[in-house]
Amino acid sequence: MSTAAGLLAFGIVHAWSFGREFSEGTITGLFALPTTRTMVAGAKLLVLCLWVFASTMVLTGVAVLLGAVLGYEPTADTFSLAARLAGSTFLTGALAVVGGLVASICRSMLAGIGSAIVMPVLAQVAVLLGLGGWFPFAAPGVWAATVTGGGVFGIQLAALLVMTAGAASATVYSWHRLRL
Amino acid sequence: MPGEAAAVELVAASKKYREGAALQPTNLVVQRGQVHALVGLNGTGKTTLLRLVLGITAPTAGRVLVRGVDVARMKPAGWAGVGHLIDTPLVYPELTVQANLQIAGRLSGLGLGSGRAAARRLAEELLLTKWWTRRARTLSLGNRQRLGIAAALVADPDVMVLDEPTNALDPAGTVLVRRMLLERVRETGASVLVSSHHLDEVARIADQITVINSGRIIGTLAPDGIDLERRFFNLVNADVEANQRQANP
Ligand SMILES: Nc1ncnc2c1ncn2[C@@H]1O[C@H](COP(=O)(O)OP(=O)(O)O)[C@@H](O)[C@H]1O
Ligand SMILES: [Mg+2]
Repeated sequence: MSTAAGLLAFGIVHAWSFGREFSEGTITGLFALPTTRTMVAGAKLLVLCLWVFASTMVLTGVAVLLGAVLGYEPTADTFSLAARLAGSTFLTGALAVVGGLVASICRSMLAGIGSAIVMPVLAQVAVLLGLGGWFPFAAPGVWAATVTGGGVFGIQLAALLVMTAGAASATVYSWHRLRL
Repeated sequence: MPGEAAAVELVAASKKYREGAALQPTNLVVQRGQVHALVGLNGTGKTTLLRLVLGITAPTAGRVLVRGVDVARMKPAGWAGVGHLIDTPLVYPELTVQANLQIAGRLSGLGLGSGRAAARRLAEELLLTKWWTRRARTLSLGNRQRLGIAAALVADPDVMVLDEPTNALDPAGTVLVRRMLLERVRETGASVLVSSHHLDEVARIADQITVINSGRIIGTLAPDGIDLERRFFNLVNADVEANQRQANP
């Protein structure tokens, strides 16, 4: 559940970061510069990645604090729970690069935001269909809810990371090739 | 050799969209050290031509050269010293005047320190210091356009490509921009390609005025001549009538 909200929120911010240049028309100002659009898109991805990491730390910290305030005794489990929460939140943020990719390819912030809405919906459908961790958008939620490990987990995680890296590269490439 | 080449040159460059031709095959030369005005009514292809010059759009046919280098093969460093303002200024509404100008400086290849100094200098030149710490969103349209011009000129470009840079400015702002451009052209030998939909103060300082109508260059106007306005409309009206005769003979 929380990963669905995370996917939506992170996705919207990614879509905004790339899509706004088209929606606000500033994209024309990013042509004909000694700073290439490849660098601009790469810098955006880097900043977003750092922001996702910072958000993950804050969210996890708040969750642990809230648990302590509500009187849950810290146990050995607390650490592994927190780690799982942090891991699934960060991976959710990583998946959100797809929002920026869609906004870049469609040259529209709204299209990117639309994709940020569709991603968690597809994830829910995938869970209902029993695809679970095999569908990258659903995977972080599944991993947050159940203890997983071993070879299957490794393959699923690899699939997620490959998809994220692919979407990030495709975003940078689309900015490199861009002609209006 | 690029050092000798014209600032901007179009060689039979054209642009066709699915919706139709935006620019017929066009030849145009902007000499170094000159202001070249491109004047035409709305929707006649001025922005399209300037977009070709900056590589924002690729020409359907023909070639576009900046300082003698084909834009299609321009290296990133080759764009250093080319300042431009097309359609929307590179201004982010949530950022202050200061931040916007510093970002423009960085993107234009200036270092951190020189970017700061240049931002300050351009803000002073365009009378923006009063709003230095204000968010661009809160500026009036005219002030935002001056900010856009400051951003375009922050790295002291030797080639300037400006699309209707004064359409939101009051007469004082227009005169200010005119003076800035003239100063740069006269003192540093910079070149300006500027568009306008009317014969405004900037077009009137041009060394060369090219008139464009329905995607074609239809003539030039001697800038020192009298009755500029009338000669402009004579050219345009003659072209419109010729097109009509062609459409229904
Ligand atoms: N991206 C585009 N797609 C289709 N048609 C376009 C596009 N850009 C411009 N045009 C068309 O090309 C013509 C010239 O437009 P433009 O260069 O913007 O004129 P101007 O700047 O002189 O007002 C217009 O008819 C316009 O509708
Ligand atoms: Mg225009």
